Amino acid sequence: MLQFILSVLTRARIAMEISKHLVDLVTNSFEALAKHILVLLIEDEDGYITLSVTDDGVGIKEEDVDKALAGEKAPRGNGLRLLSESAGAFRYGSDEAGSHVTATFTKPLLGKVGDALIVFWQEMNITVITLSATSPRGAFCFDSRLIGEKYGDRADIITMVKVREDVNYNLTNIFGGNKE
Amino acid sequence: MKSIADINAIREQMKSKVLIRDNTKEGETHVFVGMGTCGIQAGAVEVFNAFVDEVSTRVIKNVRISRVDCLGQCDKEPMAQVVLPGAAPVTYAALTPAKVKEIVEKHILGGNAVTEYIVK
Repeated sequence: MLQFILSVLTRARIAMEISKHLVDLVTNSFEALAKHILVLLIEDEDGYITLSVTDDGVGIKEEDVDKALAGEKAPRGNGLRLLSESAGAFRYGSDEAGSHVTATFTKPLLGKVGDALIVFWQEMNITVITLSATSPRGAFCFDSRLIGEKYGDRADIITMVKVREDVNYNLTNIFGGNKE
Repeated sequence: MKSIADINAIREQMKSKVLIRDNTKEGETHVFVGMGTCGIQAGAVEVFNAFVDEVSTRVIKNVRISRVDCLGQCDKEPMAQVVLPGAAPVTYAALTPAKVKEIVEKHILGGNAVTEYIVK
C-alpha cells in the first residue's frame, strides 16, 4: 500500500505543469534582485518542451542550490527540487553576470502560462520580463515593457486580464494545448 | 477562452449591473496571495487569477492583487490576506476559486469578512 502511495506521489510530481515551475523560477530571479528576466519556451520536433529562465541577478549560492535540490531547508532556490524531479533534463548555473536554469520536459504539461505570468504584475513595473515561445507551429513574444503600448493602462486590472488571455491564446496555438 | 473583445463587452455589461464600491477616497484594498512553492502546488496561481477575474468582471475600483512569499502555514495553502483600507488584515486559508468569489462579494464589496474561511 505504501509503495502504491509513493508511486502516485511520484507521478503527481512528474505531472506538475510547466507554468507552475515558471512561477517558482521567476520568483527566484526576483529574490536575486534581477532587473531583466528572460523566459524561453521551446518545443522541438519530437514534442519535448524546454523551459529556460535567465536573469541578471546575483544568483544562488552553490551550497543553497545543493540544499534546495536535496530537499533541505534553504534560504533560496524555490522549486528547484521539484523541477529537477519532473524534468527529463535539468541544469542550473550562475556567475557574476546572472543565473540560468534550463529544464527539458519529455512529458510536457504546459498549463496556463498567462495565468502564471500575471502573478508578477506588480514586479513588472520595475523589472523587465520577456517571454519568447517557439515551436514548429509558430512563435510568440511578450515583453513587459510593451504592456502600456500593446494592452492598455498598467494600473487597470482589465489590462492584466488582456495580457493573460493573449499569452494563453497564443501559447495554446503554438504548443497545441497540454500533451500527455 | 474569452477574446479581448469578449472581456471588454463583459466589462461594459457589468458596469451597469454591479454596485461599484468606489473607495478611491478611502484608499486601496490590497490582496496578498501566498505564492511559495507550497502555495503554487496547492493552487495559488488559480486563486490569484480568481481574484483577478472577480475584481475585473465586477469592475471594482482600487483593488491591488499582489504575490507574496509563503504565508507560513504550508498545510493551509492556498492562503491570501485581504486588507481593506483602515482595517486589520484578514487571512484566509485553503482557498478555492469558489471561495474567492464569496470573499470578493462579502468582504471586499460588502466589508464583512467570511469568518468560516479565516485561518484558524
